[in-house]
Amino acid sequence: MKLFCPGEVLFFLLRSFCGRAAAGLGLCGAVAKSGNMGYHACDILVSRFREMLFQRVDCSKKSWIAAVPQPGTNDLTDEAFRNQILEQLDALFGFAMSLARNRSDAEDLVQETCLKAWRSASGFKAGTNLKAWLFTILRNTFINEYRRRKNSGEKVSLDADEEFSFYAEAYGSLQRSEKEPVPDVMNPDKVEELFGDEITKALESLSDEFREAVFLSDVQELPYQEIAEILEIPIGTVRSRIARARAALQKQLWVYAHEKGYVKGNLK
Amino acid sequence: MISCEEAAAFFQSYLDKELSAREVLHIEEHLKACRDCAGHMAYDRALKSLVKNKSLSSQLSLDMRKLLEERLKKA
Repeated sequence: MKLFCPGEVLFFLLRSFCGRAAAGLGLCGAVAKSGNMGYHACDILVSRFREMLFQRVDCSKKSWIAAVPQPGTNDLTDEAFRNQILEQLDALFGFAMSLARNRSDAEDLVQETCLKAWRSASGFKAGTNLKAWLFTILRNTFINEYRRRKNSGEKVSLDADEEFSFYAEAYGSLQRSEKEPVPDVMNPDKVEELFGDEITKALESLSDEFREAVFLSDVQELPYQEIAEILEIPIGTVRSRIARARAALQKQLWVYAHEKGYVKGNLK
Repeated sequence: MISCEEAAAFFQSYLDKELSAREVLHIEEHLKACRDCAGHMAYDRALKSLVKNKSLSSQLSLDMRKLLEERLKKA
């Protein structure tokens, strides 16, 4: 165990916070167990102390982070909880659109999600991620009430180990012919101009499980762990779905670029 | 320095900010030295941004937003 933070610094911090040698020793032990760097040790110390303080006022361990008041106790907390739900409307609508793929169903889905969330507010654990909780409700509503009746139509099938990179293909075809000048199709600044409409079609052609993974990662920029919790799948499956979905999107763009004559490579 | 193949295996996780600080250092060292991989990364990042921009282009209507506010107040 390496602990570079000097004992005097720890002791000073402890005394400043609690003024009790016993609590200080206990916290030192906790720091020593988990710390292996000076600053890291100090961070741990401070966060442990925060936890200790908040536990004293009877909060759950993580409740000091982004605690959300629960509805039902008074008008103010009702309003605060309602406002927190309403703040997520754009994100919810985006997720609903990515699943339902039409405005009417997406609006219904958002409405049902908000009402369900409001009614089951007691199921939300203060201090946990409200957006992730709402996304889970929305997704479950979609699966149970919308997907069944929806005709999903033709979807891009993805092989288990499919890998495809537009840039690598374009680069490869360039090497076989001429290296200069670099075509617009490989210029990141031209991507929107060339593929702005096509990417929407490509996204719509993905099956639900791939589209939702890409949405949560690319649009909501959620970490894989949160995506795994929302989708109720292992983190490795999240990684794989995102990779396969992106490969499928890039493959569709490649086919389109080939049809348009933007690229000369093989059409695989 | 890591090879292009090794770097490519981390591209997706790098874009999604899923790498450790040490892995980020390895990738960024490679990207600084390798023009081809830097171009590849920039392109994939542009595609990721395009997905985001296109997906955010449809917004909830103001009427629907007001309706939801009212319904939540009455619920």
